[in-house]
Amino acid sequence: MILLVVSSHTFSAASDFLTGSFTSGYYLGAVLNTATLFMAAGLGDAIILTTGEFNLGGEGQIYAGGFAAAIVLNLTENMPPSVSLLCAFAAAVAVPALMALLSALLKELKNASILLTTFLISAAVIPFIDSLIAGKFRGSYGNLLATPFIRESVRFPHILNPSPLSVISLSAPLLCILGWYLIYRTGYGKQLQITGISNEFAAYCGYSRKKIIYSSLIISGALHGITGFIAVTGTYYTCHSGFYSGMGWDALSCALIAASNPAAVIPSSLILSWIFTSADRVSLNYNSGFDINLLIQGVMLACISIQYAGGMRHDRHHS
Amino acid sequence: MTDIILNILFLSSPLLLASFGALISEYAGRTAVFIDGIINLSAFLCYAFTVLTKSPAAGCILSVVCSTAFILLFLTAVEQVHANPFLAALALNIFSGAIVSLLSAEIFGTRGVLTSPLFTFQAVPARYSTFIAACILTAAGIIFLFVTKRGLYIRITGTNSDVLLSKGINVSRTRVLAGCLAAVYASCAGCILAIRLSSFVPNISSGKGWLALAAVFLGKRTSTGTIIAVAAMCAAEYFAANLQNVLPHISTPLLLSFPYIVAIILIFIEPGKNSGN
Repeated sequence: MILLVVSSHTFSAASDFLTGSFTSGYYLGAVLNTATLFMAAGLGDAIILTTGEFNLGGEGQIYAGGFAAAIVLNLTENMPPSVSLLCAFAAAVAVPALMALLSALLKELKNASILLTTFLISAAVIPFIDSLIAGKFRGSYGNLLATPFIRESVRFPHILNPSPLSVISLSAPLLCILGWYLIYRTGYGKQLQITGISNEFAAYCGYSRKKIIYSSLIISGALHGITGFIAVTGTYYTCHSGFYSGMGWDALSCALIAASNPAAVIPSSLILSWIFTSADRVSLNYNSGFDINLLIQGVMLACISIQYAGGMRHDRHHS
Repeated sequence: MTDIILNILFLSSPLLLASFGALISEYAGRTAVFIDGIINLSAFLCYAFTVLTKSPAAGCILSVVCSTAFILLFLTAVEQVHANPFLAALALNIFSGAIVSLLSAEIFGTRGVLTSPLFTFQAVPARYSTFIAACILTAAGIIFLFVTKRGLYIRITGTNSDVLLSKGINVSRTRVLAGCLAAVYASCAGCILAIRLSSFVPNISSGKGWLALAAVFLGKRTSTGTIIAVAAMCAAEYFAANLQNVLPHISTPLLLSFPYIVAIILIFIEPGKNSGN
């Protein structure tokens, strides 16, 4: 529909959109790579959505995770690669988790809306990281606003050259399966689900809402940080200004389409990644001149909003 | 000192309007997440209509009318299909950015910054006139909310909608009315931002819609509280903007994060615990 409106070569553009991403190793790898980034961040969103809350700070958390990883990898150049990677991973997980922790703290102390504070904290962090990348931590690559490239020994190799798909990307589906196990097969997961369905019933069961909010937000922030880590060590090999762009909202869409089921985040991420990569390809090949991805994102989220409300009605009816 | 206070007041006009719009919607029981998107859309429409009609007044009026009509359609659709209002509003924020990008590319051949000799305003008169307009609109809004029957309905919708139902008043329609009023205020804020810059810049709102929601939260969902919160946030923004005079090496992107940092600090230091969510 969108192609019909915006493209003068509607049919060739539509055909290219549907099949183009599977005709070359580069685009196929790009689809899979983007999907794995969506999976890791989408899992973070799925966990917090299970409790009935929203984490709108995904973009800032991904950026903070990636930036922390890049900086630690550059600062630990003299250490063995495994130690260096371990430190970078810890930093990538800790910084966004702290950002999310602040939201949990504001919720507990001030009853501040989590969706508002996660967004505000993320919006404050993004320009701050931009300023650090443009200033003190900038590498010397002409006009490129990025931290210095990480050394060869800490890069996860690409497995479908020339695409950016790397070995570490394979960890994202595994994380989703672990997430599924956590939510549907553990007592903690049951607590998350019951809190999401009814706060009152969770309190009646003796679950601590405070503990659930803190833990789920920290896990959500950490998973967004892991997304940043994967992006820096497997895709870009540097933290460039704005690499997170759109990733947070797309991951949220994946989690919503998957109805916050971590296992379903895998196919929803693959589908959305295919749509966005194809849209990018069509936009480039047919010179659409405007942000087609933004339009698709908006339409997609609008459709989800209807489906989501329908799903909630369905759940309520069954409960 | 008078200059500083005046500058803070001038700076507060767009946020004051956006926050008041958010407050009206909050009274009706809906968080106006769409405000950020409407500020961007209306700023673009204000520029586009002004250039096309060669009249700033027509540009502003058409921008407010079109943005409000857009929100009317959106809210009616949300109510009709029972969509999740929060997600639908997020979609609208993203969608409005795409519409601006599409229209800008189609009409002006670029999706970047838009400037035109037909959209140039003198800084001082623009500042005074927009501030006065913002004050009048806010005062009118307060009178509407607290003096008229429709205003009373809106205030009841969020807390005791059953009372309205028992009186045979359509709650859904009252909610749509509140949303449309929020859109009127948000689009006025968008026009002010564009007029003050004498241009349209993509993502001109730079998160003002979200800061408006923060102001409503800080003001504990009261009109006086919201106005005080807006003044505090704008005072902090003013001092942050002037920080470059004292610390010339401070980077510009860092200054962009100041309004958000201030909002977070204010939420943190605000006495007491906010009720509701």
